[in-house]
Amino acid sequence: MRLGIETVYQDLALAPDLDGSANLYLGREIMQPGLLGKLGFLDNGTMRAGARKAFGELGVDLKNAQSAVANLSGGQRQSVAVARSVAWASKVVFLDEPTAALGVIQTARVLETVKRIRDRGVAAVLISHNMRQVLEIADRIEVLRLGRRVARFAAKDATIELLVSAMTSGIAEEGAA
Amino acid sequence: MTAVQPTRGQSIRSAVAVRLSPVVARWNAFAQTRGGSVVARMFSTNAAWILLLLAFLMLLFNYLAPGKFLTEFNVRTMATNVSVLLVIAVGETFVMATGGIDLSVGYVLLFSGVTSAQVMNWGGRDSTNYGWDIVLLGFIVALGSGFAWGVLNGLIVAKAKVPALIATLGTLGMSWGLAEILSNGQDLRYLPSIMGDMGASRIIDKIPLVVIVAAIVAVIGSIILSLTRFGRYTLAIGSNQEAARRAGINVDRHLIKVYAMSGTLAGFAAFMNLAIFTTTTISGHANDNLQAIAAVVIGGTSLVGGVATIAGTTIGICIPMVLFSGFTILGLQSFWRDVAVGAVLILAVYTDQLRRRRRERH
Repeated sequence: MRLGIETVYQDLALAPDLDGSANLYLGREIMQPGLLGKLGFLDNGTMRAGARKAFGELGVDLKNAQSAVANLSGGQRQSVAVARSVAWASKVVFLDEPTAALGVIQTARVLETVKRIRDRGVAAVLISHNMRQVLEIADRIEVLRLGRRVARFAAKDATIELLVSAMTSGIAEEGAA
Repeated sequence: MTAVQPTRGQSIRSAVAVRLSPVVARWNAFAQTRGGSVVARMFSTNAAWILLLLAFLMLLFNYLAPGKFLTEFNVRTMATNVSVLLVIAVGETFVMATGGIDLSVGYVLLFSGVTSAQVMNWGGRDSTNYGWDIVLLGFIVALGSGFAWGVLNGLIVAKAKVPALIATLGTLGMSWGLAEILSNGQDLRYLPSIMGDMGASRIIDKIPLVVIVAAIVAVIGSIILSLTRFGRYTLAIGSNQEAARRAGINVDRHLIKVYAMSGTLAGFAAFMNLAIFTTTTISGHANDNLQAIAAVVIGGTSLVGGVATIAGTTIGICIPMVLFSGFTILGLQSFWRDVAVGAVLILAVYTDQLRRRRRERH
């Protein structure tokens, strides 16, 4: 975790009763300076400002930043989880089915976010069954079958047919990569 | 198939909604303002409603028994009587905020009181004239006994993974049994008289010292819960233990600390209890745990954890006391309090469930 590698879990792993800022900084709280910090007092102001910035970078608009995460929509909740990973990752972000529970618009938002992660120079590993989605945003595709890699494509050379046949039969030759 | 007709209930509801919409709009506008959002947030929790209920009850009893209920004497008596319970309810709030429960607090209080009293009059001597050094020793023994039981609870819950309900039911029995064995079932008396003086003393001749002490404990507890990392972790664990673990929080260690805190506060309450009654009051703690838990739940702490306020707990501890005092003054059997508290308890949990269900529909 301290190596700059972050994961967005399928079930989000948020604390629903805490607000977005508290979730973003969970386990990495910013403390008050000086004696108060030594006594364990949180610096909520700094954390909220940081959270606003982190959410803003992902184009997430949390109307009420102090609202419990449980009161947010599914897409916003997902955004909080993604934002948390992105904020702390410096090398790799793993996203396990990050759009599994989302509607069309929110899905587009999250995919947009994934692209932005890449653009920041952080590697994003997206785990998905949605071929269309994979083709849309991936640079490189690794097809796994029964826990082994059976094919590797450069996204620009791959088609849905190629991916599906590799997935189901496992016999597709390694692609152009 | 014909078009779906609204049911009668729906049409009534929509009629009410239309009638109320200006009010709702004004309320929403108010909630957008800076001060308004604070009020709106307050009323989204149980605590504000419970405070209204408490105020209503006090006014009602004052109306029904004018000049008897809201007297200086009666308010002082009520405040003194809730002070010990409030201290253990503060600890219980932290435990329940993690999604756990501590059934053992009442008998840990009893055990700590017995050990403390026995150390103070070691060998059965009359310690009435002993000084502050012995009182301090008794205080440390009371805290230490409570702390030990709390750590044991925490270890059983966090490390042995025994559900808190059963773990603390077990230590309830153990601490109860050991307290009776140590004391032979006899209340210990002849404690240092300066201790009793302290328990009976008042600040500016009006407010009992024990009430002040309990209030300080509640304020400190409230600050820890809402402003510190300790409180944040407590709520995070109750909200989603797995998420807390994945965020790198040492959940087991934190749970042990929370149960240790509850036990230590029970020890602290035991010392207050000795100071107030100048005896161990062996038969007086059978319902302490349920009263503390009821207060925490009435105060809006969620039974599954993650949401908790000490302010709510404080109000939750006052409501049963006000009912008890009010019914007694009105000449009703005081057992009506238990009936009423039971009903309020169910209502509190029901509204909490409603809120959760509404939230999940998002």
